[in-house]
Amino acid sequence: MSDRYSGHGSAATGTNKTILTAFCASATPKVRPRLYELLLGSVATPADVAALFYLSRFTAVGTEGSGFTPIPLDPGAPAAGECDCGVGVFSVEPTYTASKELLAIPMNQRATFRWIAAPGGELVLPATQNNGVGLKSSSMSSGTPAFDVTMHWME
Amino acid sequence: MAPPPHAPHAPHTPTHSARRPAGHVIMVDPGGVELMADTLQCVHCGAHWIVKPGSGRKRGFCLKCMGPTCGSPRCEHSCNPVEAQIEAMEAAGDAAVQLAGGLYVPAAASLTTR
Repeated sequence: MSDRYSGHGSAATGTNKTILTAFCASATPKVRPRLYELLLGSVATPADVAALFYLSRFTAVGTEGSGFTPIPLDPGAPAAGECDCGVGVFSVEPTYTASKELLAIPMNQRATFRWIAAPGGELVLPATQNNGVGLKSSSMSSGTPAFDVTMHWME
Repeated sequence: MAPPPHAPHAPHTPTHSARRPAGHVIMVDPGGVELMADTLQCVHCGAHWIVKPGSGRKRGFCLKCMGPTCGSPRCEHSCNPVEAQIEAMEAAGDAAVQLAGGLYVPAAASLTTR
């Protein structure tokens, strides 16, 4: 049975600004992580800002602002899984795969968003070092409000 | 005269619209109204989208994979299952991967806009 992990990050947004990434950290990953839940909301002062986010694959992790050690949802699971997380603000953005977003999320800053995969509908990540998915803000109608992201995956 | 419940240019988003959804979306807007919707997943690229009957977006269906496709040209014009693409990514490692017949150029911020 697979183990489940949680990753969380909060960062200022803007044009093409990554908030949170999840990627295979080990040199020889043994499993393909499967992302099955995503939560997104702003922790900034409420304002009517039109925001567009993309969840996309990347092949290079970039330079993260800070790290986040994934937390196993089951306390009995291995503390360190295959995946690691990067949190914005990135000084070098991950190298995203062009024009192939796995999930597009247009929303108001005041709204909250949650996506859950049905069994079998998870987003599968390749078992390759430094490959993964990242949630980035594509555009903001004004300002750079901070957003909070949580990802759950199994591996 | 009362307007029709759903104008042609403003398709509504039904809570349940797919027999076998690949995912679900829950959005809570500032007024506290909760929107729920189904998502389908492209059998070629793995992308999810919210099912909106009447939206005008053209999607497809792959008879080899027996599943929906997202409508992008690279997913409609050839059959390259997501499983095969992931295997290609793993085989290539960090090298550039050609996804479903499309050109993949590994680089920079200019790629991130649509």
